[in-house]
Amino acid sequence: MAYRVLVVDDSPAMRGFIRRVIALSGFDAAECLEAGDGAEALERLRTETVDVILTDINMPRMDGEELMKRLAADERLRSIPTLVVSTDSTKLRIGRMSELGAQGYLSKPFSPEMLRGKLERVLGVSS
Amino acid sequence: MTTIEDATLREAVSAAVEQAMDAMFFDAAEPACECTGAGAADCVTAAVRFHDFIEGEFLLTMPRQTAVALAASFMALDPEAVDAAHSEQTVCELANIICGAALSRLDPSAELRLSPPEVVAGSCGLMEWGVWQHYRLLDGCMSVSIRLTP
Repeated sequence: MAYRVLVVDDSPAMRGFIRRVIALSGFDAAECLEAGDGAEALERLRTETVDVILTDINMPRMDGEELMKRLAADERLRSIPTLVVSTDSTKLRIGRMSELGAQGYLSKPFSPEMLRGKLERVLGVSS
Repeated sequence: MTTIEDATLREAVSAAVEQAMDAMFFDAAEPACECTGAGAADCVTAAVRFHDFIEGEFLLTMPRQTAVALAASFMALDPEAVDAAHSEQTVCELANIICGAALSRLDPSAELRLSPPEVVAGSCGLMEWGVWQHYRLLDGCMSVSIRLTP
């Protein structure tokens, strides 16, 4: 099965990098959609269907924590698995994002293999 | 506020540099004595401020040519297609990654707050700013410095 992925990050360079490593890792991605913050992600999700969301935390306008809260409050969106990708690997932050409903957490820096492993884990598929 | 020895801070930064360059830039960062062109007129410099368990600022600077090569590698672009924005976004992202990874190493149980990385204009004279660590990369070099607020 090929998956549709939504990458939410305010850095165009990081979004480009994630698209690239998803391809490099061999993960079966049908399409990578992009959003520059939580608000734009919600806007895209009004018209697009995705299988998994990768989101940064620190973003302008709407950050990753607020995005997680909005997703959890939306009956149509709450079942989409979410993987947080962040430079912050402190236990407090990881715990907080997990409480908000994140199924996985990937700390930067990460390799293509680590990204693929986390994506497969949150999607419940085995390689 | 936590008290951290300079040597501990530099070790954390060094480990974060090597990890970031290896995993995300597919490059080997080797410690060097200097980085010619860093902090000069035609360089790209990014700053990240942090606060909570410790407070201060992290700086990363590199010659523009190195920034172009890194951006091309990071974003899978032809070096000739790399513009100033690509270079600056890449250096900002690298600064963010290294700073976050270094601070997370120092105290994984603490709260961590980083400001969005910013490009620093007019970097000349920057090397007077504090203690710098220099690294040789496949296509150039870079320098990093971290300063805690007393």
